[in-house]
Amino acid sequence: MISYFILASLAAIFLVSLPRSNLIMNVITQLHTLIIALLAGYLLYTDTATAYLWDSNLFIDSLSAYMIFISGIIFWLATVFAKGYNESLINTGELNPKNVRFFYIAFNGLLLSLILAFSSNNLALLWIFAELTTILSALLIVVLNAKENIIAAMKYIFITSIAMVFSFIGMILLFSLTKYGYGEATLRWDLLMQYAEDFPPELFIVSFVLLFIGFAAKSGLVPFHIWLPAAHSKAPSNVSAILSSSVISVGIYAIIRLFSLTRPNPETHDFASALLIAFGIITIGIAAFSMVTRTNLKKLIAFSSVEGMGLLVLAIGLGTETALFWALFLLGAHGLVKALMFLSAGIIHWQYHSDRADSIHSLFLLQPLAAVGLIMGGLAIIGTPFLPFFVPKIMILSQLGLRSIPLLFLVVLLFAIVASAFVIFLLRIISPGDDLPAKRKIPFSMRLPVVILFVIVLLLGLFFPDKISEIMQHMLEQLGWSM
Amino acid sequence: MINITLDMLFILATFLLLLAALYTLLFLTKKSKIVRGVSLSVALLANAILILISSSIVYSGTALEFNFNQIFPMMGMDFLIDRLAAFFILAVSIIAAAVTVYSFHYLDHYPQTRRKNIHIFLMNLFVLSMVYVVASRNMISFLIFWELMSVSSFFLVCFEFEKAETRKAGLFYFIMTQLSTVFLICAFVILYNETGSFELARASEMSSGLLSMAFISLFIGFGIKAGIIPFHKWLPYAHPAAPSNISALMSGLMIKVALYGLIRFLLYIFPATYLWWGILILIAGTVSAFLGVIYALKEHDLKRLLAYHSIENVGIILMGIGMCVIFTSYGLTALAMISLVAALFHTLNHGLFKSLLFLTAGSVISETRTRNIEEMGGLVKRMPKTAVLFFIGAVSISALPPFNGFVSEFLLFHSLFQSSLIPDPIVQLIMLVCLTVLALTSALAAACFVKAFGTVFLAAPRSEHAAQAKEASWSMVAGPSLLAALCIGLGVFSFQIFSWIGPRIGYSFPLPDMLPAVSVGAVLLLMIVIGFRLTDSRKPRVSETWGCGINSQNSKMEYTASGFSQPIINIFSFIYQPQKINKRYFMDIQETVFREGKVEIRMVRFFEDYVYLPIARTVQRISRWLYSQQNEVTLDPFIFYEFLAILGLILLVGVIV
Amino acid sequence: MISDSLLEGALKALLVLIVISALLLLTRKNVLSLFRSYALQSLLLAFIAVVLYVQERKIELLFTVVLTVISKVILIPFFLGRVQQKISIKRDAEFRYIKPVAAVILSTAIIVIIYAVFAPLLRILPVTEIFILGSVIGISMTFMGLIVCYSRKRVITKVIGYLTMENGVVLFGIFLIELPFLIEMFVIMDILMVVMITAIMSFGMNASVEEFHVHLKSLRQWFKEEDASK
Repeated sequence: MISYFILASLAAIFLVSLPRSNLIMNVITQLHTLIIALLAGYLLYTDTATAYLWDSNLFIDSLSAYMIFISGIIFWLATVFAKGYNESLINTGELNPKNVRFFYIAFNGLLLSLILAFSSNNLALLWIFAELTTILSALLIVVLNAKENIIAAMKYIFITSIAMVFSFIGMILLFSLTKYGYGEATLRWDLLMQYAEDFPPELFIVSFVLLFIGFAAKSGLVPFHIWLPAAHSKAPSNVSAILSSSVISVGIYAIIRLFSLTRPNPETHDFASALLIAFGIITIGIAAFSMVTRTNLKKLIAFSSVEGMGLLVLAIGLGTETALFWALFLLGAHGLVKALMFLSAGIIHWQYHSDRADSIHSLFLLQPLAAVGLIMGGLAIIGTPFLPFFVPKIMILSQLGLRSIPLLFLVVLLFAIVASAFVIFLLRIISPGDDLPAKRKIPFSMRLPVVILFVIVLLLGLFFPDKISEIMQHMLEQLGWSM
Repeated sequence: MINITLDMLFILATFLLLLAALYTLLFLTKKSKIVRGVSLSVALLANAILILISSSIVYSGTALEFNFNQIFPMMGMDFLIDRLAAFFILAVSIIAAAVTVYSFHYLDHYPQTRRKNIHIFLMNLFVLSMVYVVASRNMISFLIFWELMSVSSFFLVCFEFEKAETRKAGLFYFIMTQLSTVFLICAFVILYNETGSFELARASEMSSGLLSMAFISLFIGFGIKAGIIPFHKWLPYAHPAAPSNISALMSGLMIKVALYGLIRFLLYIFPATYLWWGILILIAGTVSAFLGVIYALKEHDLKRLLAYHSIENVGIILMGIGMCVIFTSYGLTALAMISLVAALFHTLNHGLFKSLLFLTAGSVISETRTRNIEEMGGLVKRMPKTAVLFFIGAVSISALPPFNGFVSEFLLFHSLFQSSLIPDPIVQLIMLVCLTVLALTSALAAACFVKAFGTVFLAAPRSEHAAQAKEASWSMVAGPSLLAALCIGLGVFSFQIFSWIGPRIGYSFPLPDMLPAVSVGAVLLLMIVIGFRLTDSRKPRVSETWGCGINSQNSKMEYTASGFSQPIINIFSFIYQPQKINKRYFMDIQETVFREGKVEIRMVRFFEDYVYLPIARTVQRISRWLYSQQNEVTLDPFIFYEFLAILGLILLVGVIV
Repeated sequence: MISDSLLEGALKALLVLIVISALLLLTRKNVLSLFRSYALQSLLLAFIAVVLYVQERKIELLFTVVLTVISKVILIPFFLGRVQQKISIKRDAEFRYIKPVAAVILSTAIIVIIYAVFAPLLRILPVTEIFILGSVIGISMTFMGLIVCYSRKRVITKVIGYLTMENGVVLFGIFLIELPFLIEMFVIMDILMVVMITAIMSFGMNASVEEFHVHLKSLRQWFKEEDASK
């Protein structure tokens, strides 16, 4: 099964690298992303048993399929969006036409490396492909040849790579644990899950902390988050969308797996849980306060991604089945909502040539669709009922309340600050300005993804089909959290 | 034949309301008024059904249960409508019906089609969410509809978002509602921890510390929404900014929903209540009532004045709730009941007359195009029907017999007078002080409405718009008329109503039978009027009022609202401290090139200047500082942070392991 | 057969040398000598692997030697030298947060801290003392590389810092456990890509302010033309 994914991706990369027109490259990428999404969706829907490939170094279980599915959808929508949006960037001179091919190669390559990262059964492979996603994302950021983009990409590469080096130390430590404990050195998830019970807790804790450092930086947790607002605000909006929804999920994905690993080992588990909760709350706090005075739309959304990652890590750290169930749901929902917001921000960029609040005004008059998209995303993030964040948030908070009421109070207060930050910003950009610039027509290819995401987010909040809950249960079982 | 049960009917009614809401979304860009008309008619029908159902439940006392778990499996959508809930649903649906009728024509003077349609959508959603908050049996669904109520009302307040003032009000309101939710969630989770379920049912034994924590959280959470001082500040901002039909719904209903929450938790959920809770509620209520009316006296913005009166009346209702808790803790159940009934009855009454006042104020404002009462005047000749309706509202809120406000305040006074039955002298003293303050508050409220009615409707018009005002259209008269009729009816028939309630709770209410007196009075009045008409001279004499010898009299010479309230303001001058504010604006950030300056003399806004704004500024300063730490161009600082963080983590591990 | 004590002595000497090479990277100002120090360090690493191979006879160690020599002694320094010629930076004399002397003291402190934290932990595993020492120096070297990354201004020096960190990991790895060959291959490829990309991007970083403004101006021109066309 995995081989289909890899073959599709490789074929797409090959086809895109041949000299072709922009439109054809776009169509190829669309096909590629759609195939990936459909395949992963099929896997998810049929609950296929875990499939292995290449000496069991690659595998696909429900969690992998879920992550690939979400990535596939968002990559597809980002590709559709790119059709019109790249044109606009070329027109304004922000994107060099020569770089378009380069963009599509990196774009398809990024999806391939994500698929490989999500389907590695081997921690070392996951590390390698996670590094690869960093490199490819950095390339997608510097597609726009501005100095700020290069600086942003530099921040991204250096901060995450440095942290990933420490991750590697942790990995070697884990590797040696299996060797000295079982005679057979391995980094395979499925085997690690069996062995973890007997690891000496002291060393296991050290290796968990070191591994966590790297993946925390990948998912943008404070204090390793600086690259995130810089990179997400400078990248083209469709790239920001995939960065914010799929690429930072790699870190969370690894943290989920690592944390499940500690479960049979109570001492390590308690330590890991406390560590994750602390990181989660600090992240939410810093992000919430940083959001209040933001004047750049994409920075605001990026900081809210940081906050979302904090919430996810907090939920994972709580360590109960309920919390993890909703964390998994939130992981997907967060990606979709962030994509909706960044694509809306892309439309706004198309209209105003800027992301700054002082140049955006009369948004409802000029780009009602973008305004509705942003408001919808904002409402979802602040946890409005009948939108996908509400129930997960309440459930996670109630689990947090079981641990500590003061912490709960703190976190809810921080959520209120996040919500206020969104409203401050939105009220600013819908207010009338001095002059009314001419309304720019948005091509259909840019409107379609926003509308699709809008509908998905709305439906996901209104209805929670049993199928989704079944899939989540399946994932929990495979991670060793039977409910 | 299908057997239609009450719960099916209830679901049908709310479904109709939802349909009415979605209908306008469907035809978002249709310019025609018919879209809104259809939606409003359907909503009116739904409200009528709701009135029938809820009044039948109030009458019979058989609770209604249903759930939506099949449609929304994860949200715990369980509902239970008992007498208390039905009573609030009754209040909601009556007032919502009146506001719906009013809204047929109210929006006509706004130009934006799409926005008007969205407005109707949100308004129906708002009413729907209030109904379901009250019907909720589960904390999650309570929170869901509570949030829906907050969000929809936030958007409704932001209707005219082009105005900076509205945006400011909207933001203020939004932050306060978020804070309210914060405290509610904390309280809910504390309860969940103890009971293990989110169900709104009586909790078993809890430790008194946790219980008090939950109570304080809930009190603050609901208090913010209800507008208790010191959490009241959003009311005088949001009400003037919102369209008047929304002000009527928010002031008449939404803050009552918060009070419903408080009553529900105090009496039905908490396993025990303590004396100090009651005293806290009583004192908070008294302070709100007194300060509310004091601020209202000084106010010349008609809607802000009404908003301050809402604070006052919420205070009065809270006093009743507080008395109920105090009496309960002494075991005086009958007295507790009478206080509660007083509070509940005042809740309904305040909803009726405050919505009436806001709606009529809305008619006046859309004609005169100003909210400043100093620029109105003389409207009784130009808008006679509106004037009569406003007058009924004003008399009711001033608690004059035979109107409904009188009855509920009378009951409250009655229960406060029973403080002699309480053994503890300190509690007795507190209650007596509160009694005195309540008496003062009622008197001041009456004075304030003399001012309001006199300045708005009497004398000669003080502005051009006021001079050209016309009577509001039929729906804008019909809606308030319904409320006015109820204001009179609930007052006049109060004896009959309470002699029905009395035996059911085992207490006879000491109310005078107002029906005979009123009928005799009405007949007398009618005869006098007829007598005058018959003996009138047929030729009216037209002449100018004597103006102390000045020839050309104009409206500048009239008695103004400021003049009227001056003596009272002098008495309370210690509360109104003036303050001079100098503001300078510069062209650049370094503050070297002066752009403009602003000098302002105004009252010290104590809570705003010393509580809200400092907190907001602190948050802003923290935010700026934090961001400046994260916004350097070079990489070095961030790698340095990373170094420190990793080294710190490794040290931490070394210490722990 | 070479005696164990001799091998251990050699290892100790090499470890001391490798720490010195890391200290050189912290303090040298000339970019070329930084490259040379790095190449030297990698060579020392290869020597350590050879010594360990002699002791343990594990084939993976030889792979490590080959990979290290090819990639880190030859390829990367050569590539970095080319880049350095292009952007013509000779010296990196600016230090932030920490001066060279302080950096040396801090590094010593870090070695002590890491030893205090990790040595008791690693003793849980059945390894000898010299292996523990090697692993500790590996982790410390990672931190020293990190200090280079934040105390030096030029991107090219930061890259060297990153590579030093990576060398620290390899040192840690060869003392504790041998990774499968394939994994090491992939890791080296990843590292190579990071180095190449950051080095290439440093062209953009070092573009002069004037060039940058020209670029900005052309952007503005585009806006204006578009406004006019509307």
